[in-house]
Amino acid sequence: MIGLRVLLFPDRVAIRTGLVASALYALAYLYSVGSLVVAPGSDLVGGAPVPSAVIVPEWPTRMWKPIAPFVWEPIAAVYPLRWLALYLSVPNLLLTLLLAGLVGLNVMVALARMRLMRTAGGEVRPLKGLLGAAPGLLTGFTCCVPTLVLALGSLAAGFTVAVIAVRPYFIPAAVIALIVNALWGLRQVSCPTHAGRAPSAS
Amino acid sequence: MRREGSRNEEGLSRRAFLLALGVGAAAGASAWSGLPAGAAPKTKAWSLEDFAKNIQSGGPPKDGIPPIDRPKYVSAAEADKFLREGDIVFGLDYGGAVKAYPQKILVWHEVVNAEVPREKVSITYCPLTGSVVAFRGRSPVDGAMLTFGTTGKLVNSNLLMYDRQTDSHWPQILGAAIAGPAKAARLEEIPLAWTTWARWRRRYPPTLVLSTDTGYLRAYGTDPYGSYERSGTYYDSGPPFFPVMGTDNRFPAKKVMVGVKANGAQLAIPKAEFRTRRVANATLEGLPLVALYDEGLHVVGVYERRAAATVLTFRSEGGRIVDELTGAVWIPSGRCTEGKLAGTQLRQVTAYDVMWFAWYAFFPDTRVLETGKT
Repeated sequence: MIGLRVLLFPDRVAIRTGLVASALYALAYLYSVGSLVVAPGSDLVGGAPVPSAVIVPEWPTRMWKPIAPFVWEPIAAVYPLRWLALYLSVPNLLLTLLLAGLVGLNVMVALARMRLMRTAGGEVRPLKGLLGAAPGLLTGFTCCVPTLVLALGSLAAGFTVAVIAVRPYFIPAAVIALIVNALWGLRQVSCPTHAGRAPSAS
Repeated sequence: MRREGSRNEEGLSRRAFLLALGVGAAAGASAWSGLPAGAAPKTKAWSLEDFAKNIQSGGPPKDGIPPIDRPKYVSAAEADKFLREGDIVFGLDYGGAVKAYPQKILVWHEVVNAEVPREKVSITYCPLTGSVVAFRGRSPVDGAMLTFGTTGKLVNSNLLMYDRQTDSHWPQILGAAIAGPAKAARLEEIPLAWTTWARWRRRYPPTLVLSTDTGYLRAYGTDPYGSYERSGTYYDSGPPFFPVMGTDNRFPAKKVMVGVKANGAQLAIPKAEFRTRRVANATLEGLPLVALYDEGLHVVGVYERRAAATVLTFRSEGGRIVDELTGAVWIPSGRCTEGKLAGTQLRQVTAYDVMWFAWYAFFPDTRVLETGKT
């Protein structure tokens, strides 16, 4: 039961890599939904001193208020620098933890599996399953326009309506893809005959 | 708000309705001086149902773009801490209130439900169509107070508002309800100046300024759509992001026009070109108008050019605005400062900056002021 071994006795490299991947994904996700703002040259605090932090007085009523599909109203902000801000929303953070945790788990399982299979002489492509994490990074919204469309500029203008139509499915798709991939990876390494393609005998 | 409005309007013919609404086709008689013969675009007026059928989801839910309902204001000196001289502000000088609404705040909220002495006023801004319009917060149906929210939807890429009292839906540029109990009612618009912080502060030193303490947390130092100071962003190039009901290629889609509504007809004035023309006399659907360029604010004001019962004709003379009948001197805000008519104030007509593609999509019958002649 290599899969069980991966879970119970994961190797340190896989753990560390998984945690780093989680952290990077969390930052990327927060940036994509506008919770993390990096704006060199801008003043995000309106002339107030930094570092500083703010909590919205109406935070109990705002906490679960959606501002776009799978994006919620921030109720607090931290300004480490004048041009750097982290807007905190409880549901956004929970979703970030879920997605980043799944990404980390996928990386951890994939790397551990890769190392185990190498010792068994097999070949694996450990990170292709992480493509499932990509939709989660495309959910950002700016007022009425998906951040993806804004980032691509006028070339993507014709796709705005289509992107808006499919956008509500991005997060569920990412979560499902990451869970399925993690389970699939575990199952693969649990059953060595399915785990990667063995090198050719010739 | 009465239900009868909705029922009655449904029974009107499209043209009768549009004329009543003030957004109808400007067929025939309207003409601006300088308008080249035969230059009028083909006529195609939309009905309310046409607009309603063309509502697009923008993605956010109702009030997902949160209106500011309890605006706070700071002094000009305080505002200097977060506004640069070239930052765009929308200036309101109305009912004894002088206030500036920074674009960098409104781009995140789109609606400010404000108060001036004795009444409600809603300042609305749509970044996608570059239009800013202030409305009296009073129902045109029964006079009840109205405040507005954002639906998260668009018509012709333009902000679709709803009022909290009846849940009727109002496209900002149209200024009329296209669905709901107030359907076909038209809001009263109030002049706003699209200018810069330096210009506004110079004109109105005691102005108040909308504070960044809006009750919401947004990156007010950034503009998600780009910049009005840099070229190559959404504001000056490329097509609109959302489908529109009609297009016209006489001008670039994002060209800034001053949109004028009067007597059920519309006129577009190319703003940049008008800077050199400065004065234009016109008659729109029988209403004598004059457009005056205010260099101090870089705005174009449009006024009914009538003093008492006398129709006036204006011209630019040595950098001054004079009327040909009395030779009196006028200033760009429509006030006579020297001569027989000194102290006279012309009545201002609704006019606001807007991107060409959006103005045309709502008003395909719009006239366009030719700015090449003086």
